[in-house]
Amino acid sequence: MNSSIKDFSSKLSNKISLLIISVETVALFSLGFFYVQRFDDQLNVSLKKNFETPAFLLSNGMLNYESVEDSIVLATLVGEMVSDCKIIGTNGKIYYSLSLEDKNKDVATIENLSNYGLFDKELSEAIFFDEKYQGEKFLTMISPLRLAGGKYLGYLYIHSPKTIIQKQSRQLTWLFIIGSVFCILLTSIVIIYYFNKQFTSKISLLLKRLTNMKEGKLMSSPIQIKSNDELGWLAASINELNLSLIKIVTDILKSANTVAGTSSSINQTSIAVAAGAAEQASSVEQVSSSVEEMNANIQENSANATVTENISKNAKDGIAELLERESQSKNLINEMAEKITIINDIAIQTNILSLNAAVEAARAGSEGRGFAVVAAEVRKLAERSRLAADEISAKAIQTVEISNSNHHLLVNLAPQINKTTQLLQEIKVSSSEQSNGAAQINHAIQALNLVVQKNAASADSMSAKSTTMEDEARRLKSAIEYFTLEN
Amino acid sequence: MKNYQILVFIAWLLVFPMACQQTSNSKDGAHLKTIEKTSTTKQVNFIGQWYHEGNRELLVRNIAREYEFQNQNVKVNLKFPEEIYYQREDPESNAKFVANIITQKNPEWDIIRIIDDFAGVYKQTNNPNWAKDYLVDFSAIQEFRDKTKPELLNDSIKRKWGGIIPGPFLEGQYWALWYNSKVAEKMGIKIKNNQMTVDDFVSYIKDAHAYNQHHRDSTITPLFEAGDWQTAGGVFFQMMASCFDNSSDFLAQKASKERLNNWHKVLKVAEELAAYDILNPNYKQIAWGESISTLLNEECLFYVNGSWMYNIWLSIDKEKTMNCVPAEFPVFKETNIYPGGYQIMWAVLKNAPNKETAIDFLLKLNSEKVGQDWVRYTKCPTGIKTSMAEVSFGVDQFEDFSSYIQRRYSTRNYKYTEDGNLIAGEDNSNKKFYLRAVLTGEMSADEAIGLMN
Repeated sequence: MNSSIKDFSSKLSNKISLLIISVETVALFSLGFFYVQRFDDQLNVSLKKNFETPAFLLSNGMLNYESVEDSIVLATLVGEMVSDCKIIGTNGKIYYSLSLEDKNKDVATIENLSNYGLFDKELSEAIFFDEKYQGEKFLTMISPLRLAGGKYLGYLYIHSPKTIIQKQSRQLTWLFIIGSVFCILLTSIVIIYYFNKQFTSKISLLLKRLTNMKEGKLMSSPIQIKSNDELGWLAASINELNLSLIKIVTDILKSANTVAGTSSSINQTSIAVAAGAAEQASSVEQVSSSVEEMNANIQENSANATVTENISKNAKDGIAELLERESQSKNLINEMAEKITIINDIAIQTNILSLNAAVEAARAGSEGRGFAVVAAEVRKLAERSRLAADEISAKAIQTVEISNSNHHLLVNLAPQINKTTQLLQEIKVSSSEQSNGAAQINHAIQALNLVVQKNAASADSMSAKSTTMEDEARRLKSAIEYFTLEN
Repeated sequence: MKNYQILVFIAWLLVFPMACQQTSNSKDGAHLKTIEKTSTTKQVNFIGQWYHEGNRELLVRNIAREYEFQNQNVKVNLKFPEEIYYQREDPESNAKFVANIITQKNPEWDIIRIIDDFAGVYKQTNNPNWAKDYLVDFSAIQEFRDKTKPELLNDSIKRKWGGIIPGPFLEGQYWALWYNSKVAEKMGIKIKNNQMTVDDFVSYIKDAHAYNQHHRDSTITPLFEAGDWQTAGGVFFQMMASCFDNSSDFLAQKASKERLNNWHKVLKVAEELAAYDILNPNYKQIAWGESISTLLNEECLFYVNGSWMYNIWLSIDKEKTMNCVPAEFPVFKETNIYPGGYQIMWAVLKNAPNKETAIDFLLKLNSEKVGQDWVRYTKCPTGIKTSMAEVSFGVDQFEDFSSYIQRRYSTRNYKYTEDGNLIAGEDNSNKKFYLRAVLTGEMSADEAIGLMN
């Protein structure tokens, strides 16, 4: 019961209806009270007017005097069952009387009438007396009667219980109460029905739609509320909001899916990047060490180059010296060759001598044999010496040639060695530069290494973050999946 | 709106009406000035009319009382003839009274009842100028002329009264063939209220007779007649009037062969009706005053009398009165005259003790208001000029009848009395015309005409 009351009172339309009905009830009853009072007053005024009517009609000849003796006529005119009505002359005589026993009597002899003390007075207008006997209300009127010409004739006395007027008042009160209750009931039904139809049902629709939205159920169909008022506008706004939400949710869902996919890819990429970075770092390490090694080699090379340069310089110097010496050697060779020529000449001469000795030893016959043998031997020796001399000469020539060749080589070699030296210097410079470059490379590699390491760390971090992002994307998706889209 | 605002609004709703209520007050108070009492210094001695006739009597009493109230120094001493002199069994008692009083030196009465009966008093006084000699001529009073229907202020009426008009034409009336609708219904007769022909009338009588034949216990008289005031003749007088091609010939009352022939024709009808026991056989013994309720009590089908019967019956039995329907007299052929008219009921004696007051009284009686009351009370026309004094159509059968007759015949009325002049012509006032003898079968129409010749 309480919950149903609570449910009932929780409806806005019911609250508004209750408010309207309450105000209406208060207004109706207060206005009713006012109008009942006014109506009572009006009834009294009307009754007094009615009371005045016979006097007016009588004074204007529109009503017979004897009508005051006709209770039906009086009741019709006055609107009440008149208990007494009299026409009293200025002489105090009762000419007409509803109470027939009073007819033709002097008003002074009737206590009830004489007490008013008015029947010897000229009245300019009707005088009313509200009276009460034994709990019943009465209205008494004493009105002047005149002829059309203004002649003052006397008085019309009407005494009547306010039965009908009181009944009318009670009827009106009841009628008002019943009417009000009926109106309230009717208007309540109408208001509640109207509010339910015009507002609650629409608000319920809106509420349902908002509840659905709150519960994540986004309906594609718009709320059908055709009313050109706040509710209609609200419905339109909610429809727009709904559509916007649908669009946003759809987009978010799509993006979440994309982000989730991308995050996954990024994660994988990050992992790959991290792995690559690690490998890169390793490679960089290797490169670095290689570079360091290379640098060392370069430095060694540089040193070697320096040494080589020195060597080269020495070689150059040696070559120069060699050249010089080779020149000297060549000269010497030449000298030797010349000498050898001499030898050769000697050998030729010895050979001629041996040949002469062999010719003498041949002449010396057998005794010259031993000489011939020595001469043969000497010729052999001379031959051999010539051969040797020739050979030496040839060798000398060859040596010269070689020496020339060497000289040439050396001559050629010298620039080359110069060049080499130069190159070695350059190599040295280059090596130095290379070394610097290698150092720089190494430095760069170190830096690269750092970067790679950073990258690796970043990749790791990115991987972690992409995992997180993927998780977030998943969570976002999961969160956005809270909204279910119709169709 | 905040709660307290709502409360303020509700409180305003409650307080506003109460505040407004304070504005309505009743009006009381008057200027009071002592007035001097008037004392009675004059008296009008007034012989009334329509004693014991319901509203008409009341009307007369009210006129007197109203005059007294409006003139508080005057006492109206109202007495009805029945209280003073009138003897119903003597149709001439009023004429005799008038004839007597007008010749008195010091008459007791100021306003006397003349019942439009010039002839009666003339008969008593044998003075054709009795009215002019003894009665005040109201036609000489401007106020009277102003308030009287102009068609009544003509020379013929003045001639009738010897050159004067002695009083107001308060009473207008038409003669009617009254029937009881219940009786007619019982007999299975559908009676025409208007434009009834003689044949219609004969057929009704035949039907009534047939009914009586079939209902031996029935004592319903087809046409009622009394002995002391015979009125059934009205039907036959109108039949005779309708025989004339020119109604003025009938009204001229000239004796002629045609007149007798016309009456013969009417008597032939009476003769035919006699065979159907049209009249109550002992009508001569019936006093009109004692048989007023015959029609009310469904003891007859037809009843001939004036439209004033409405008031008489109304005072007896209102409910039964509604069964009484006035119908137009039957005719042979259409005529433009009808019995009825306007009666001068009262006159003021020239030597009345309170002549001026009496004249003033009758002038007040001749007022529009009294005329209206007359019409309202009697459902009959009045000769007083009023804006609302005409009977209207559609209220009831009584006003319908008066309205119809008034529209159809206007003031072309003739006074129906059992006067031989109407049948046999001038100077035959006392001549017998044997209508009832023929109606009762005592003689034939031919025999009656033979006797009249």
